[in-house]
Amino acid sequence: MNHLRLVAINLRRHRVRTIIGVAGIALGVAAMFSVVAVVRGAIGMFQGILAHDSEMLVFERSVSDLFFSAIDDEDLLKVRAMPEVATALPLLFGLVSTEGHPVVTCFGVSPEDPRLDSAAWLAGQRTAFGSREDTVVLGARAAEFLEAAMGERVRIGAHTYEVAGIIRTRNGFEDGGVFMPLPTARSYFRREGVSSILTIKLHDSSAAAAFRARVAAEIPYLIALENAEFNRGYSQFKILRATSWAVGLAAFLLGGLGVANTMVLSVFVRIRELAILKSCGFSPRQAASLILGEALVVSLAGALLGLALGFAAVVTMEHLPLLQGYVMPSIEWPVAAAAVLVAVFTGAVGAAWPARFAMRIETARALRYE
Amino acid sequence: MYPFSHHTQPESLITATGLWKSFDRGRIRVLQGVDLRVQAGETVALCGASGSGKSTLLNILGGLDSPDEGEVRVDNQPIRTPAQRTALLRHTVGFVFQLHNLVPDLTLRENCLVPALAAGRRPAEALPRIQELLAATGIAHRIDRPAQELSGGERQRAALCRALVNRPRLVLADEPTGSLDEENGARIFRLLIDLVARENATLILATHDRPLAESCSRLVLVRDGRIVHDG
Repeated sequence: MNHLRLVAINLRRHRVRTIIGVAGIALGVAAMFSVVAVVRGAIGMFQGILAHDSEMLVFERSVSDLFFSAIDDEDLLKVRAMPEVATALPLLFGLVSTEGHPVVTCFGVSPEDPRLDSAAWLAGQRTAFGSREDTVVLGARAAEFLEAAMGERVRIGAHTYEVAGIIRTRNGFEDGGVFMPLPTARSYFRREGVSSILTIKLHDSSAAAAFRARVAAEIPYLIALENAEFNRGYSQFKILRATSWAVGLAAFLLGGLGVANTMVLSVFVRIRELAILKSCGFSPRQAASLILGEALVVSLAGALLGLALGFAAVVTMEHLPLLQGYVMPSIEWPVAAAAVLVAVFTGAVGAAWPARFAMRIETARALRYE
Repeated sequence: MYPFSHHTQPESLITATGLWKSFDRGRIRVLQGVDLRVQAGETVALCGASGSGKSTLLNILGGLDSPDEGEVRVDNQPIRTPAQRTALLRHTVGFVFQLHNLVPDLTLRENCLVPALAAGRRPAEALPRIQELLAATGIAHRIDRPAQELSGGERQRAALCRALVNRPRLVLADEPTGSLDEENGARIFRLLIDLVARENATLILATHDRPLAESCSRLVLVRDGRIVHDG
């Protein structure tokens, strides 16, 4: 027998309480893991749209959301003329709602956009994109949920367009989106002569700083950022990340309170037993280590169960037709490890006061308890 | 009162000097200036009515409680801090209580391993000793049974074994036969006396059973928190 055996015996003896404690932590971990995975996946997908075969982004300075950014064609031409630039492609974002689908993302792209090259064309011709303005290309999932086939007319918001192609991409947003020729998108969203962003490919990637400085000097109301720099600084990403961690931590806090409650009860119902152990020579620290040990076992079991639940939840969300493929969770093991560590830490903090109480039990007095 | 003097008596195993203890914020005075000195090898019966203070005295002597005033010395070393009291319980003292105080969900073997575990000994190291004690008390065949499945007599024998696992030099027994019928009580008492003698340990026994007390080598009468007779 060792300390672990004593820990195991007590956890087994109070099965229901143990299960509640494990479930509290598991739900916290599952919430944290799945929320963070979904949000990071969403951020990753959006980053993928912005950074497709490019190194830098140009957008309107001082906008909080890229959907509100506006770069006119005159500035597009100026950027294209800069010596560092190999290609500068315009991209216009728009959101429309159609019947039964409140949010459908639209991408206004030029015919030479590389994402059309890298996509798998399930129907239609790549070379025909943009040849007619009343046509759209649908992402494969968009085609599914809009129930549209090649050559049919599909309602996008207030207008109908002919489906000129169906493509499958690796990006959930793109796969659930509608690709419009840039002029069509500009017309639809009433943003004539305007793009949301420019995706930039440089002749030499080491010229990024020079390009950024040139944009700042020549078109001061625009800003050029390297993709990684943008990912770090974009306020929407920051808000999303902070929200996901806040939700996860709040869930953990509840889980931690559950563990604290479990441990407080665990100590209070066996004050006499702890006193017996102390009368046999257990030091206050050894008594506390039993309580902390129980909390750590509960937390660890909860964390592992929570990871399994979280994993199952994100896989389910990924395949749920209702979510239209917008959920492409990013399952990262450092996040899982962080969730386990936070769970164990939460458990330890939750058990701190009960453990302190166990340390301070007055043996002689506690032995008189019935 | 027991004549206490550092200069005239041989070295004591345990010495209590001027012990005072009260409960309920001083409203209940349990010990009022107790002096007691016990030599190694003695069997001392603390006798007195319920509430006379004998259990509190035993608890303070064994390190389960601390006095409000006064001092306990073991081998002439003062026992003052919680760490010293824990060390005392691990290495010098074995307690036997009236209500056995076994952990119900642990087996007999595991209950006996608790003091060894507290003292940092490995189970394999302590097991031969436990088997020896269980054999001596006649409950070796119950070694893998949970404590809650043992009879009252078996539980008290188990408590006796547990108290002796770490080879304590001082056994403190608080009404060890109080929860047993007369026949079982007499058996347990005999066993306690025999085992303590076999282990060359010292016994201080709290009891209000006068015939049992008279079987000890020394009788100390406690009344209202004071020692009124020692001899």
